[in-house]
Amino acid sequence: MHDLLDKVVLDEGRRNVGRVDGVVLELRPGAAPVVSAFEIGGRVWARRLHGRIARWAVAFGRRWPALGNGVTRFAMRDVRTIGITVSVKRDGRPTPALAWENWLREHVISRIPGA
Amino acid sequence: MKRILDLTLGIVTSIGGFLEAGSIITAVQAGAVFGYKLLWTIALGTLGLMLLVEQSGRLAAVTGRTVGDALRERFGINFFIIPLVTGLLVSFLVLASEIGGVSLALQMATGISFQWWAMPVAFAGWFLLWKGNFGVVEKGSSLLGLVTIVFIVAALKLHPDWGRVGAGLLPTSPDHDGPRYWYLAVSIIGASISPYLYMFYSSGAVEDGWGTDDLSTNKATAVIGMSFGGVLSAAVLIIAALVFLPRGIQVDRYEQAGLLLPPVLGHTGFVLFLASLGIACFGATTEITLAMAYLLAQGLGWDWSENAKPKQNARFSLMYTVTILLAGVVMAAGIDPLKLTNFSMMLTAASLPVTVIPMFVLMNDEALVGEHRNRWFSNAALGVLSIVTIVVLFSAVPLQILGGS
Repeated sequence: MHDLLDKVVLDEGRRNVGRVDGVVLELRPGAAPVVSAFEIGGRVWARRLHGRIARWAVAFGRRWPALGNGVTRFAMRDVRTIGITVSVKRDGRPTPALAWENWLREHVISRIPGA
Repeated sequence: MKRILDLTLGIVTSIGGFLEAGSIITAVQAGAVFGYKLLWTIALGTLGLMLLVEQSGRLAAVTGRTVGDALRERFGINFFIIPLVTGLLVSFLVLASEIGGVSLALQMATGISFQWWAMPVAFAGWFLLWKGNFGVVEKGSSLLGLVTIVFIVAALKLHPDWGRVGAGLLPTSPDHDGPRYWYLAVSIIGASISPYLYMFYSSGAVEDGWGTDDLSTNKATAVIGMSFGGVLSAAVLIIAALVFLPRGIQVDRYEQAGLLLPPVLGHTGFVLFLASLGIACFGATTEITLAMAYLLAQGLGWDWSENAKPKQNARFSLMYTVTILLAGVVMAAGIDPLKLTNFSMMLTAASLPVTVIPMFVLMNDEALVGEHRNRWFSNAALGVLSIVTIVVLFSAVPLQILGGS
């Protein structure tokens, strides 16, 4: 779990998708739990900080859905390598983790001359 | 040949980029009231900065990780949130102070109030970040910043008593105005060791693609560059001690600092002071803005690079755009730049433990830096520095109340 948490996640195009903000554990009866997936998103790391901050993050996401407050989940089978960074075998661009980046690029940054 | 050129450029950059609003103002105030007595704090602050710059550069060269990356990866979000939030908050106030410094230089040059200059200055800084690349931001203003060498020229022309200058390098307690003395001592340490500097430096090392063969350049930049930078700060203090102290000028208005060089160099001195203040603060403006965007982007895992086009890193570009313009708004609202500078230097000093102490763990983590981890000397020095930063943290609030004005 600590080999994964807080590391940068790179997609198949070597783009930064985000950081591993949380892991999903699968509980199996009679066996040790296994990490089945990990998640990226402000809401996820807010949960690790404090319950109240997590509730703010959820409220914030409801208020401004355009800011891409969704949670991105990658299954462990999509992971290519785990080193200093975590590489996944998927395209990060359509995920909620990059929704805000994409929205800003199209609607704000590209409209400023010289971008 | 390229190696030597890189090395020279690195050293020159760190000298030209050393001074900024905080280091100039605190050195002037210290010299004006206490003569050479506070020189030791510049020496201490410079040694501390040297240490942190070398270690953060080594971290980046060996691992390809910046200080921001390593803090999040090694300690997790629950700790990282502390340096993130304090770093952004403190840097924002320092940024506003630097914009204030440029604006004040323009006010003294034109007679038009600094409030009118704040937004144009912020916009100019933004424009440089938007259009330029890392090399332009880092090297451009630093090379122009070499004008600050005028302070060394002026200090030498005044023929200081070198014996007394040397004595100032040893810590002594003051014979008058104790709270003010210690207030300035802490401010000078905050002005010398700004976390944004080593955040910026380690990000720059990653931008420039440093590897282990850059370690000697890193060490030379840290030791030689920072030493010369410290000499520049010391020169400012020495001039203030010889020009302001005998005349009884205590600098409680920015404009008074403009009188620093004219008694030595005449009208040219005035012009060169304005150029030095303006350029030094403008360089710091762009560097702090970038450092803040780097820290947030690295901490949250966004793509970041000043070498890419703005639209390739939309969130990163938006972050520096909003930051620099907001800081401009703070100055345009008419906050006293001198008070803000003093206050933000105290706050910087108080914020040091949250980045300095974790360096211990990072630089001794074999899994992270391997054979390039700290030797006993670096650890001992970092240990002393950590103790200093903790003392500074606990004395900052009482000193701000007792010695702040």
